[in-house]
Amino acid sequence: MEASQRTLAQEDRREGTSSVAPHAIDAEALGALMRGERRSALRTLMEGYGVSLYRYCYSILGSRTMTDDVHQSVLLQVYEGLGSFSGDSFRPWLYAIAHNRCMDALKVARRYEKRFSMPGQLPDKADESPSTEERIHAAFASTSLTECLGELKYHVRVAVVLRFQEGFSYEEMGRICRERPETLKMRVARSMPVLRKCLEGKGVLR
Amino acid sequence: MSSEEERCDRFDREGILLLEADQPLLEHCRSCVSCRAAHEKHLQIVNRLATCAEQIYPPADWMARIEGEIDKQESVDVDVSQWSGDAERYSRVTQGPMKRGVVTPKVARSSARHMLQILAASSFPVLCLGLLYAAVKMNEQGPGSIREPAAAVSTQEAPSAPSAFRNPGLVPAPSPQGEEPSPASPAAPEAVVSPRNRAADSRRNAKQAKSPSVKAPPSTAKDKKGTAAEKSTSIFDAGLDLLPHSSGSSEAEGSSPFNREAAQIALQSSAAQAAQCRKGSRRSGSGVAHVAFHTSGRVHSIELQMPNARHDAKRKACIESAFIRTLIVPFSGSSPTMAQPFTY
Repeated sequence: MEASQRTLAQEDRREGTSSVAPHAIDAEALGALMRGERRSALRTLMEGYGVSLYRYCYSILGSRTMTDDVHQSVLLQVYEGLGSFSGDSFRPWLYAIAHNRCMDALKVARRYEKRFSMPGQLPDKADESPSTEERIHAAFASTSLTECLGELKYHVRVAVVLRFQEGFSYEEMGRICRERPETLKMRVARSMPVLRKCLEGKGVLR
Repeated sequence: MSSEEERCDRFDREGILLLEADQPLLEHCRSCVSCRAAHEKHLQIVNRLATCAEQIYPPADWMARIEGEIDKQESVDVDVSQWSGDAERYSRVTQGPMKRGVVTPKVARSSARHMLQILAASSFPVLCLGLLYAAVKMNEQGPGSIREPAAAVSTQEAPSAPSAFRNPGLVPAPSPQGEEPSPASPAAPEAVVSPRNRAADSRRNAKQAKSPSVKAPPSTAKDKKGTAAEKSTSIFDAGLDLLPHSSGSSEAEGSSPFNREAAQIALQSSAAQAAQCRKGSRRSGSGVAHVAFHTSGRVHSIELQMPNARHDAKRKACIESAFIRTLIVPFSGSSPTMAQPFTY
């Protein structure tokens, strides 16, 4: 009975529509860790937070290719760090790792662009435009919002995404970004009018 | 809506912060049209931000890909650990936290470390075998060349210990004349040089082994340079008397009386060699060497009279080393002192 419930919950999570509360996922993962089953704990965390982590990385990076790489490296690092995990909530920890890896990836990308990009030459990267299906489903507003988010500075973008997309409190955001909650609050407050003006300029908000 | 209200940005300046701090909105923001509109748009943005990434999904096999990557990483670590037989490291890798980040550098690091271990482990027996081989070869060849004069000398060994040298800085070499004892005939210089040349080969070997057991031959002046003579002196100083056969060879005593003519010829050869000590210096001079011979045929003592080079110790040592190598046929009876003029 318990096993079947667990399976259903896992299937639910795989679809990205997890109805299981974060504390339940954390408890399950912690239980697996206590039993010494690191691989099982990782699987639980992947099922619980994997998709949202991917979305977060995509929102920050704005590129499928980079997001795939960073997402994988985040979860590999999570697996490595599980043995030394000492907290009681996995979610901020996972996002902190993702935050650092995204920052690294952006730095690398920036360095690469600085060194190898030639003026007047086409960029040497894969076609990042959404597929047909994505085009059908994706709303124009969403695309514009993503574009406007991309125009924000990295730290501002992270703060906005963590606050409004992932729903973190400012205390949790402070732990993830290693900054004071007041700083992050001010950053978010300053960025919202900029975002609004950007969307108004694109005709999304009238 | 007035233009003043349109330009109102109080919501942007204060309203958003209040909302983020979970505090009630200002009354102004409720009444001001511009602020109210901004508030509505703010809420729209917040809602769209919450849902904008909902259509984004990772690739279908992302979990399998990550688990496969972990499997690959662990298999590499386990293989490397089992290869070196390090059980402790194996348990650390599989149970404990791994190092963060990239897989490839870690594997490369561990591979390089283990390659070094393997190389060190495999080179040790090879090195041992090489040393063993060299030792065997040394036993077969090296001691022979060193033993050669000792064996020859041992037939003429005298029981008495060598007397102390008057000049302690110059230690005599074992006599190569002992190798070919021909006491009946006076030692012509050629006859003396011949065994010396043979001994020179041994000396080269002995130089390499830093055990100068064979005496440096006083060959012709053209062959030998002054610097070489100095080197030879230093070699002799290095402790020739420590060798077991060197003391024995100095005690060999001949049966024939002292041959003054042969000694004079040998001293003239040494004087020609001493002339090389001038090399590298503009100053020249002449002097007289008073040489006393031991009954074994080797030089017993040297006294140099060099009026123009009182303070030139280096040159004096060079000339001394040229004369100290003078060898004559062992003789019996008293050992006279001979004077040999030389130039330098």
